[in-house]
Amino acid sequence: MVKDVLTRKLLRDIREHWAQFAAAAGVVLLGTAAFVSFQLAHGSLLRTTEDFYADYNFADFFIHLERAPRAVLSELRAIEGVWQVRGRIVKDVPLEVEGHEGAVVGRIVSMPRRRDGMVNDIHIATGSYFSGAAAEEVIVNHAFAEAHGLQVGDTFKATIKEGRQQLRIVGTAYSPEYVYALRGAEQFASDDEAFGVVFATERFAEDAFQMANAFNDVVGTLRPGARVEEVLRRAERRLDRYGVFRTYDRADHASHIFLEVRLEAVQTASYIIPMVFLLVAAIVVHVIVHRMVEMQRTQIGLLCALGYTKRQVVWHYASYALAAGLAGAVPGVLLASYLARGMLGIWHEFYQFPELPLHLDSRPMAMAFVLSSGMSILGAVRSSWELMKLEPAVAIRPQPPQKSRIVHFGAFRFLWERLPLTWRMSVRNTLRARTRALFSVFGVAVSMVVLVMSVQLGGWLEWLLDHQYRLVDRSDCRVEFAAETSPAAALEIAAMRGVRRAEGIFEFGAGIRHDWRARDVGIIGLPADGRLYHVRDPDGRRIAMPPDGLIIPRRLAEELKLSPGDVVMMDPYVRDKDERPAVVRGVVDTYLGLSVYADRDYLARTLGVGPTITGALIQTDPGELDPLVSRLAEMPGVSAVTTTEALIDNFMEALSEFIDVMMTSQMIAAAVIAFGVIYNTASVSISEQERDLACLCSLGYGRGEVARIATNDIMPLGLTGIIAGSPLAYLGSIGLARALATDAFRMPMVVSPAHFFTAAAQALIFLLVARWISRRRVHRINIVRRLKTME
Amino acid sequence: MTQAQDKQVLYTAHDLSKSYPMGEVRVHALRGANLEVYEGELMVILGPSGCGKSTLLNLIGGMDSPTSGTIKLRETEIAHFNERRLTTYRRKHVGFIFQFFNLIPTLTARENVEVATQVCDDPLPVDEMLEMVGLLDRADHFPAQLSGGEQQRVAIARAVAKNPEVILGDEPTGALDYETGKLVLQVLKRVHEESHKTVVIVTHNVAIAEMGDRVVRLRSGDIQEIKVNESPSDPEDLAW
Repeated sequence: MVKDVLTRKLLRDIREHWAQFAAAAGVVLLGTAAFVSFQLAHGSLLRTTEDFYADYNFADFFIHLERAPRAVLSELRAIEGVWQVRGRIVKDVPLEVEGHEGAVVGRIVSMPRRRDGMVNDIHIATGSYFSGAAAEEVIVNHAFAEAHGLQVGDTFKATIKEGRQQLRIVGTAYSPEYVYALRGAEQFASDDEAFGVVFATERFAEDAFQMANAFNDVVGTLRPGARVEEVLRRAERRLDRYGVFRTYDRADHASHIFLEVRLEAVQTASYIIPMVFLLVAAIVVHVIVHRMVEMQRTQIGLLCALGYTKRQVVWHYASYALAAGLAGAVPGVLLASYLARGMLGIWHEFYQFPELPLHLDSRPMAMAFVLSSGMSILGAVRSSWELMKLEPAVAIRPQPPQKSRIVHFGAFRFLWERLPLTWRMSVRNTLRARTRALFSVFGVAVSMVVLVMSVQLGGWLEWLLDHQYRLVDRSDCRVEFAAETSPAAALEIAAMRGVRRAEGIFEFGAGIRHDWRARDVGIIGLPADGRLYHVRDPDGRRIAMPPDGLIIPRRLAEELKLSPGDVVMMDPYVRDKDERPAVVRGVVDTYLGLSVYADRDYLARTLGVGPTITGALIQTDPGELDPLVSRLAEMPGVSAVTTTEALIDNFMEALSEFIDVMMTSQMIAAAVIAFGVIYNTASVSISEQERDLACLCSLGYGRGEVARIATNDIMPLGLTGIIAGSPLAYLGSIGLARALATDAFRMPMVVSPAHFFTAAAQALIFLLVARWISRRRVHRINIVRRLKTME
Repeated sequence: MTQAQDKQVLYTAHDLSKSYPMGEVRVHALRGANLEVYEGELMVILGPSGCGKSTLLNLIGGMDSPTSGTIKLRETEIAHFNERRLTTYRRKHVGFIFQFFNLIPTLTARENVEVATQVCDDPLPVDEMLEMVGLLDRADHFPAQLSGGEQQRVAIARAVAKNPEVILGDEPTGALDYETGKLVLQVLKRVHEESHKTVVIVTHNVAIAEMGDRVVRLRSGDIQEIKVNESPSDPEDLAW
């Protein structure tokens, strides 16, 4: 038995209004669970990333070049600020894996004989490091091995210099460089079936690519305090004569970017989503405590008359709020570690870490308690303030009858007079409890914002894939050549069986500079008469390719402050080609990748080369795709074959789970918010009107009718919320599109009326359910007792 | 009981009992009461608080169902009506007046009367009713703008406006001061005389019993006595 009488009263109050208490605690639970789980997941991913990078000595800078002698490496090591440098041979080659039909690209990465302290070390998952017994020993990235069911001892073939070489797996590994295994920054989703990292011995790579004592790739680490731009500038100067394609630091590393984006998104989500929940919790607590104080006025007066201080009384009501906060926060925190583990489980499917464990951290948990108690107490502030002002002598007297004013509606008088009396009751009640009505409208509006976002997110992937692969890129597959070649190669493909059309394209990476702003992008040169790839605006209208100049994506235009007519400096990552000017002819909204478009021949002219292609887009005859892919993979000079279908599947696989989880949690959030607010305000409103409702019963109104009258206001307020929420939802969806925009993919800013109608329909369902449950409350009113007692 | 014989019986209660749980004990509010209410009479049910008089009134008014026994409105058994039929019964046949007025605070005086007339088949004109209780000029005032006596007069107008068979008053002066209470009783008496409605008033106030045609005395759930009042007093002459 609790000794303190006020505490006992508190416990009984909670028991009396348990449903409302549970609703408030429930919203707090969701808020804290969201906050702590996002924070824990974020902290764990960050810590695992940092540990993995540190343990395996992930590089600070990267240089791709044509070919340089090993002797140059000592010059690089001498650059101030450089700590370690490793020269590697890195080449992409086609692979042949038994039992796999599609094209597979393997990235051969040379590794030293001894691995102590080397830059970009690998974590051996199964098997071992090279024994040195045979040249064809390789280690593959673990995800690739898993995707193909390959194990230590298995073999596969690689096409190197037009000859086939058998390779034998001695181990599988994780690499800090391929946590998210992408071939390059222009890729937007990893595909472990189509791309594998093949770590081979230096001896093997030197022999295979005829690069004895040479390298074409540098990775290095910096001393503390070193400036990476300066180091890269100096390194580039020293390596200039060896054909530098590209230099960049960790911030531009493809795999690292994907991790960073996820970390940032989780960090943002960990604040915004819980805040919405906790704000709603504060509102719900406010509505409940306010009503409780109103109903218990005489008790409050009595307590004061008995000698309790105001502070004790205020604390009594604040502790109800606090109890609701804690009742939600405790299970919320417990649930959070479970949710965080689930999130990490999903991420571990994309991100290749040896393990991605949950790191429990007490700070977010402590913060969750502070936040949830703080927000709940915030909900009790107004009632407490009113309590402080209340004189005991006034409080102990019953409250005077509520005041209502004659409503002067001016021009609406005609309508007002035709309004049924029961509706006039509802309108006047709503006007009297304006704050509460505003809370209802606000709750539904917030719910609407969340719903529109969820609908938008759900339709986005389909829209994106439809736009990209039905309107923009209409090819069934594409090939990449190992080296630049003449457009005749495309004609050769066009003549193959099963090919309906083949178009040569000229792709290369380049740095685009405008004043001091610069960005690395992929450049795609399209043939003037091409039909397989059309650049289009979001409405699907075709954008004509200018005979000279570039069409750039809006994201790049915004980043580099470019508009049509501006001249940029283009630095092609092609051997012996220096920076040269190019004019921007147009800006277009693109949604996948960060590609710059131009006419193929214009690019060749600008680079000072003859007609050149690096790959081809292919449209096939029905049913001919699979055999064609096999034939293309065997074609000399082809380094990679990718089917559009595989791209789409891969993209769906990478994103659909994430989107489903987001959509479901948004739906739940919207339902909890709408329901929590509407149900609680309706409950309070019904409890205030109990006597009026009982009176209507005595006059011969049926319970059903009375229940309808009591909940008259829910739909108008809800609809107001839906309408008020729509412009907010529009802003919210723009915010969401911004928040989710990365270099890899963007969300169109297209929020159609259909999005709003779908979201509004969902909100209506929540409202109807809340109304239905509220109405059931009316059936529980004891008419006789209500009419017999004073308020 | 000569008077009784030439009157039509409106209600017949037979062996009426009502008990309900209160915490862990069962309260027997009414123990086998037998009673007839005649058409057009003004009956006063008198008794101390807790004697079961309100329970009896609520059973007659269809606000509650008895534990056992029967109540007939003329030939119709109403005791075991379901919720829906009880609602219809209250709607068509009963006008209630409560101790605490129970006006709806968000409706004006006129609207409070209208809200009752809107659900019955044959209501009386609202403004006439307000005029009858002397409040036509305050028809657009809200309950909060009316005194207790005025609120109770609106409640009377509301009860009568439904044109019910019976008007049931549960301690109609219980929340009013002496003068106001008398005024309200006068209005009630006048309404009774002018409309010829059956009126049943429940009170603990012995003085009020003087105005009834018959007085029913209740104690601890039992009817002790039913007394015919040959010359009912005018409320103005009552004193307590």
